[in-house]
Amino acid sequence: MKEAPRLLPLLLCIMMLPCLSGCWNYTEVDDISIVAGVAIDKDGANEKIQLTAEMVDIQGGLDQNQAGFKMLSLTGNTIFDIVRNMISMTGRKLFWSHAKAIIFSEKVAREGLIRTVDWYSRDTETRSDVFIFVSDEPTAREILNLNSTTKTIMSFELAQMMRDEKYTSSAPTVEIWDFIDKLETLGNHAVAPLISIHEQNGQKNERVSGCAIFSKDKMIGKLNGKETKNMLFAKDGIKGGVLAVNDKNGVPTYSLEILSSRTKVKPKVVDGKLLLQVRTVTHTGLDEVMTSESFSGYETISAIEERAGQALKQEIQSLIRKMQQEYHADIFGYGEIIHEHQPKMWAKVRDHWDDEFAKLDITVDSKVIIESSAKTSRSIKLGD
Amino acid sequence: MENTGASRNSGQAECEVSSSQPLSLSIEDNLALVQRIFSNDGTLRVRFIENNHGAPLRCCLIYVEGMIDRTLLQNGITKPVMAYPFKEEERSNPAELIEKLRTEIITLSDITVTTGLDELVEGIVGGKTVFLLDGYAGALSISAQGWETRAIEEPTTEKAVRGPREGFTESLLVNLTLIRRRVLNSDLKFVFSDIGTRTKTQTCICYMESLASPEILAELQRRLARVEIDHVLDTGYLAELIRDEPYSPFEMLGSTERPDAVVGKIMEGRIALLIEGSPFALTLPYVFVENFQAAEDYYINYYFASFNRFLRVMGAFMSISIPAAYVALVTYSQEMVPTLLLLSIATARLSVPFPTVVEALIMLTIFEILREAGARIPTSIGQAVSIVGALVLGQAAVDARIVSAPMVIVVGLTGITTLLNPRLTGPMIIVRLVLLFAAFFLGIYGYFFGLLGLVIHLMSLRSFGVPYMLGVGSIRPQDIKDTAIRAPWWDMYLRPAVIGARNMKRKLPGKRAGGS
Repeated sequence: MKEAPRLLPLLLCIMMLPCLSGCWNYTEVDDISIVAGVAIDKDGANEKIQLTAEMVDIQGGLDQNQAGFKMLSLTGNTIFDIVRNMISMTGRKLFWSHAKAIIFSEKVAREGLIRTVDWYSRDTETRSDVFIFVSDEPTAREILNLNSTTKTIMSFELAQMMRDEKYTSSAPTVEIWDFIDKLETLGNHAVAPLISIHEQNGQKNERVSGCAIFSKDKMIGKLNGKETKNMLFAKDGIKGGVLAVNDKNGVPTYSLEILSSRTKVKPKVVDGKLLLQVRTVTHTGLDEVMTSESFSGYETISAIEERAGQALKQEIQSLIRKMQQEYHADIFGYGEIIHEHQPKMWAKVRDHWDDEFAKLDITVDSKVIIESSAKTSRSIKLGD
Repeated sequence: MENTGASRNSGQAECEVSSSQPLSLSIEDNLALVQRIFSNDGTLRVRFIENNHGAPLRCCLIYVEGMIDRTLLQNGITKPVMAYPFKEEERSNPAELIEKLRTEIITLSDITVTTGLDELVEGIVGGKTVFLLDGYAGALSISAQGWETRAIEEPTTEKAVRGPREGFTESLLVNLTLIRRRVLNSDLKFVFSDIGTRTKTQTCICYMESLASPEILAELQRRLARVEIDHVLDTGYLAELIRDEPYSPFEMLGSTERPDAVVGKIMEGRIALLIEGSPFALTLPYVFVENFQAAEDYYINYYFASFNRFLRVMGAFMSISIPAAYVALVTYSQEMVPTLLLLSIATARLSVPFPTVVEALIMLTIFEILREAGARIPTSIGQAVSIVGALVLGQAAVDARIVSAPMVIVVGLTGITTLLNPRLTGPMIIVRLVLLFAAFFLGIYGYFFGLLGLVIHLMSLRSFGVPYMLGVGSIRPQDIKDTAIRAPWWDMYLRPAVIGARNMKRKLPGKRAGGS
């Protein structure tokens, strides 16, 4: 009996260990329905939520090279209610860990996303690294329904698209945790990429370009692809992409591939007034010259750099003006930067930051540096 | 060898003749005694020799057919005894005559005078030729042994691309010679004893006096003295009888067929144990990392040797982990599998009737059946096994949707990685199954719980007082020089810790004979 008091804590520890292993349960992998992505719409008739899930269909088995898909749509009052009711249609529990995309219709976004996003971020079976989109079409489900024409799992394609977004920088990549984080911080406004259907020659394709702007959790406006790129410049979010530069006659001639870009935002207080300096430094490579003239003789590199910097500066400036005047929305996160650098000033403006932002004096300075001209140093010359 | 104690000889008590009976003067009486002991033994040969060149002399040779070299017997005993012209005065004094025979007439070496019957019998069964002289109450026990042995061949279980190709044979003396030839130093000791109350198998402890730890040596001798068994046919018997931790699946004594490997171990301060009739030598103390060492590691480039060691360690880990990790991931933690991989596993598993763990058990069992079948069949029908294994059971089972294709890959990988470590095959099967069940019941958590248990078990083992995990987890360079890597020889200047503690220094640190 003397041993008992010493062994008891040990036994208790061992008994408690299984509880620490988190959420798990025994399921065979072929007994689950893997959700690839969801679209959330408002059912027109009765204002209920309509949830459309794109599911991976493994029924094709080994004979098919590619897994198929299955669409499931259900309306209900709450999201979780719909999700659980879906079991009655699939016969299997939905498996959310591999979902890649969540698409909201514009109507849902304009009414406020907190209502619909909460379940996804709260539930233990879903992941918070799912990509978030706002549909530029009337409904969100028609984007997912595109899979019947492309014959691929649309959500996985969208996720792949977001991973390659760094080469174009025409849409922000936003994961759901990031979106919620922006909603919760003062001095920052959330954005989400816009997704539309691009139709040409009867061929329908999805296209991610531009972004939706949110005020609190409600969508208030849209930016197109080019504006989105300028927004990314202004908030230090550029990872790549192309800068098109005109020649001295105003004809688009040069393409600069963005190798790296850094944006520094400096808040200053001059005479009790808040000033913001935005400086961008972009390293690029000259990747296209649409002229047969030798560009080094035709125009010097520094001239191209100069013109590119000027153009970029103007574009960024006009976007910032637009945000200040039209939307009163600080999508760049400048409020947070002021909070960091000028905490005293921030304390004064934080409660009415949106109005302050609209009045803020922001100067932009852009510098573009051309580092190389790819494989050749001259233009293509026409032979005689 | 002579004084093995009275209890050891209890087997002979069944004979009517008392073992301690002295020999008589009459050659016929003595012969009758011996023949009664060897009744129903058709291999006993008796050959009378008479010499009538001088004073007549009657004597006889007793030996066991097949244990002696006939040429030696003829040239060394029969001929000289027959031809020697004995004088009358010599004939009249048997004691002097025996002395004369021993020193002047019989040309063979190793002759002893025996007077007791049991010594004489022991000599005969040991292959000696016993020389009885009429009128002398004693005998000469002459070594003229010679029997057929297997030639020295390359050991089949431990092949090396580079390095010595000699392997031990079943003959103890040949084996000892193989060791002795590599160590021309009187410091190398061979201590004989016999084990097995009925077989009296010769065993030999072999060590370097100045290197081996006296405590470990004493412990080994104490354990050998405690062994009670009537027969020993292979060192495997002894390994099981004298090992530590009798219930652990892991080997606690090393065994090798290579004399160079034995010498290497002896030179580290270890002790080797060989027995007559077994080509496998035991080495002790044994530590865990020795499972991953191959003799060849020490002969080839150290980068390559270290790479091979790394492969073996990884192979052992994979071999115990792959089925368990697969089951845990596929049945519990599907979120941890990359999406596309999960899809292809799910697709493959569709319409497979069994749960994943049953699938794993079926395939692992089939693999073990194939392994066991392949190990003992003649090589000529070995191909049939591989065809049945690969085609019928692998391909057809997948086509028939009885098992899924990923499971075949999992079991195939498990099997291949097992072959990397022949010494660990046995323990790994057990560990693999334990981990598999742990993963089945508790998922990833259970798998890690099992691994933890394995580490705790390994850490608790001792071989002759030396920690089994010696050197594992140490950060001292001289401790890890010969574990998962094989350091260059010029950098292995100390013997292994604890085992070589008696004389740590192997060479001067960092001293290279070649250019810098």
